[in-house]
Amino acid sequence: MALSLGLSTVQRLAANVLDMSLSRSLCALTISTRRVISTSSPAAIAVSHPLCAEPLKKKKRIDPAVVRAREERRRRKLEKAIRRLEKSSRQLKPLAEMELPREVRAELSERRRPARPLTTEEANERFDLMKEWTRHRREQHVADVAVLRRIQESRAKALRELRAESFQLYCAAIEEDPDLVPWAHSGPTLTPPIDGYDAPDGDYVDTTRRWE
Amino acid sequence: MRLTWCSRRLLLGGFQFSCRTLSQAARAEPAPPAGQAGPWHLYTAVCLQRLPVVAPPLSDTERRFAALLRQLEFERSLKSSHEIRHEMDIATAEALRASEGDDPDLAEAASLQTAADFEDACAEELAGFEPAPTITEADRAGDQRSLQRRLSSRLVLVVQQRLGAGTSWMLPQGRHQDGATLRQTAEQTLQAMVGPNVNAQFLGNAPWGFYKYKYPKPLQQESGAVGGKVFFYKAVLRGGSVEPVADRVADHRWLTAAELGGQLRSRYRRAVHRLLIDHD
Repeated sequence: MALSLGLSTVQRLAANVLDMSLSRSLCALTISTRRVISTSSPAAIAVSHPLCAEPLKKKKRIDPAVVRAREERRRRKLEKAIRRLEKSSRQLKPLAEMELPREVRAELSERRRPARPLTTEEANERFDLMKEWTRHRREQHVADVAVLRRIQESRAKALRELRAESFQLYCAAIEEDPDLVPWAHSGPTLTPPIDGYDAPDGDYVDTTRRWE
Repeated sequence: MRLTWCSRRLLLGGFQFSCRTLSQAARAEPAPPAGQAGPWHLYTAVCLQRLPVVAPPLSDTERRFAALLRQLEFERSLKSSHEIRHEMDIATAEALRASEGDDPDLAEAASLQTAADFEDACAEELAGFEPAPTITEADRAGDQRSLQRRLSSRLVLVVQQRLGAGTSWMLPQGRHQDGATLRQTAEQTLQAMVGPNVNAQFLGNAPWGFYKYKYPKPLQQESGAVGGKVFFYKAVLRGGSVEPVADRVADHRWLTAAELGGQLRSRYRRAVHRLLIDHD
């Protein structure tokens, strides 16, 4: 009796479930395989507990050659993408200051200066002046090197004497000074700064494009 | 090649110090000092420099070469918009003269501000700006206590330091005490001599020069030391104010490397000069 009651309930339930649409209730229709004794021939359709996922699909065997081909294709695609990105980083970025503006490039023919040929005397004068300049710069360089060598020797002597005097102080003296580097100094100008000068042009803001 | 005895000594002398790296040298304990027996007092002296504010004037070669470079750059350049405008103004003026004032468009174009007018206005504005002079009041007066003198050279601080009963012109010098490094001693010495408001950046932990002197006999007996060994530290004046402390320093001067000779004793001056840059 209970069984028959249960069956009719189940039958009603099944109908309701079908009405409500199976996926929304996350239940599955099952066919019970348990032994049931009944007077009528039951369909034995029952509703399972709510499942929180779809039953897994059956895994199909894929040909290993096909798998390898897919992997290869994926790797080639990635390498191509990497090469494209690297090419962009290898390209020289444009310098706005080094390019001619559009308007100037359009009028290039009008903007060229007439070529004035040099006389022999002028050419000789320029040549002599360049030689004189080279000589002058070399003398400056030699003098600089001599000064730097003198200062280096003075420091080497000081360190030798310090080491002979006190080894502990010497070790402290040859320690690196982290505040020294980076060294920053805004160098000499053409004229000295004016105290309390208010620039009429205001401040300059650096708008250079940077590619990181 | 046969080496003479002096060149061999130079070679060996230089080679001995340079072939050993600092780390190797640091690991080895030194032999006891071979100099005069007896303890030496250690001192640190500070060579405080004001760096050049202004570039030195160009020499004759430099001026002529700069003019040549400017000429070359002009010859290789394209005409600027200002020059094009100037040429067009001239052409407009010519056309106006040729048409004898009949064409109203030309007359209007000519009445606008020409490139030459604009240039004159700019020159006038520039003439209105007065740059600060490179030869200052202090230069003319010869005020050696001023920092505004000799703006294109480096100036070194020299003080008349009180030593015992008398005074002596030297770089600010202080006795080293145990427990501090030489660099710390140098910083303390500078602050003790010229006040705490000086903003000086020291150039590294290592000394730049060395000077040794013997005390007079009575002082040797009194102090128990043979003399003093002075280690020079370099510093660059970054700002702040130099206020000599009256009970340590009687007077002070800011001198160029060339002017040091007049103020310091010869052997001391030579030791100081070896660590200075003296182009100017």
